[in-house]
Amino acid sequence: MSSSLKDLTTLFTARDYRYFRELDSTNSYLAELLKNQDLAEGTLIRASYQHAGRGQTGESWSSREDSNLLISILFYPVFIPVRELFILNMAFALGVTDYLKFRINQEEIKIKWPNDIYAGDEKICGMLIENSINTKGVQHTILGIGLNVNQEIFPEHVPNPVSMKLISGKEYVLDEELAVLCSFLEARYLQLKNSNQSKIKDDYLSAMYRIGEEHDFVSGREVFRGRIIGVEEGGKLQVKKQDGNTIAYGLKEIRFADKPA
Amino acid sequence: MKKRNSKSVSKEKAKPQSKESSMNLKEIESLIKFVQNSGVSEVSLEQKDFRLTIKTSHASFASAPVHQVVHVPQSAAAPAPAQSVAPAAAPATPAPAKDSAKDESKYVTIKSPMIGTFYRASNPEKPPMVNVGDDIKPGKVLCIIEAMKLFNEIESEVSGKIVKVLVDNASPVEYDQPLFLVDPS
Repeated sequence: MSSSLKDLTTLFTARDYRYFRELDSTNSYLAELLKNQDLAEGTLIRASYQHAGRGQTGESWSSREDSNLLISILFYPVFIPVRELFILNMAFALGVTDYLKFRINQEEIKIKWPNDIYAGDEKICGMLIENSINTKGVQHTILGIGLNVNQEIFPEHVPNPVSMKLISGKEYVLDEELAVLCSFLEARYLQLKNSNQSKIKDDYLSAMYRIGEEHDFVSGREVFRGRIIGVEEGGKLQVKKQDGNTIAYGLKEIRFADKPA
Repeated sequence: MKKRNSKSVSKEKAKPQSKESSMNLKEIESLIKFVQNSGVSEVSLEQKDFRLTIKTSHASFASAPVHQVVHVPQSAAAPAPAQSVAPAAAPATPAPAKDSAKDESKYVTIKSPMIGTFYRASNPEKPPMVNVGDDIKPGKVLCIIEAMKLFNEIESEVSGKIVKVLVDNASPVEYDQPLFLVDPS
């Protein structure tokens, strides 16, 4: 466990920084920690290796030891009404997108709805956002990020992975990258906090993977051609089908015919 | 666990966030009056992110005072700022009285604070977070509602015993849909 990140320029993100060689899952660890103590907003947990890293409800996340950034950050977005929480997906996905555009100088960094980050047609980063909610509203948010940095070889079961190194050819120093990533994430979070939600929504839409393009989609047993035209308030994906109808889809109700869900 | 000073929270929340909500309380009141006087039995109004149904108990129009039942989902009743103080796992609502012999009126219904998918465990290999007969207290995580890849742990605000789980694991839930019956005694 170390205590500070070099060259950190954030106001609060990662000011409390706790590093571990190995954890089950940084999100679970942070959630456990919170049960027993108060932690400052921005507290960041990082592990070099997670042996039970999680994707969507139980799907595992594979990462080679020491080559990627596996982190969880604590936020208190108590200012967001429960019904508008999807904007967290937008803000944090934009934070990672901003960072990657800055760092690997590649314009093809896009957000695959709702919060996967793609470089070209390959996935470079995944996110797991966990909120704690009671009658008063959101209590806390744990943002888990798995960003492929230096990994060059991926297990076969990972559908379409890519890393920063595979794109740029450079080897990155993880600590340094983390400090930069944190400042981009914090900037978007502060934008959210300062009620600049329309900016976030606009930027999210323009960063969306394949928005406005004609593609084949699969929904249940139906295969159809359509275009993503936007995202509903609650986060559902709006697709305009070839027959002219626009339908809003939830997670797992739709995917691209040529891409994993 | 970090608890926010509720005063400062509500102050922050009083700031209008996005003004998506389409009706204010006054407009709803006047709509109710309108329905009351019109003699129709039911009026539904649906807009983006907003649904309101007003029912009168009978469709008659002649007979004197029209007794109206207003069924206004909590989401709709709240004007924009109050809406942000969203009733999360809204307890405190007595379960609707059933005709069954069992008196359920003393039970508290815990409702869904959002649209999403209801999960009783944090992942498929884990046991449910709560089962019928379990004692719960405020802060206890009861379930997860997944909404567009946001995983929301719903905490109890009440103490008591779980009497009934009203929704099957992995099924979709609506805003305000009852999830658990809790015996607070």
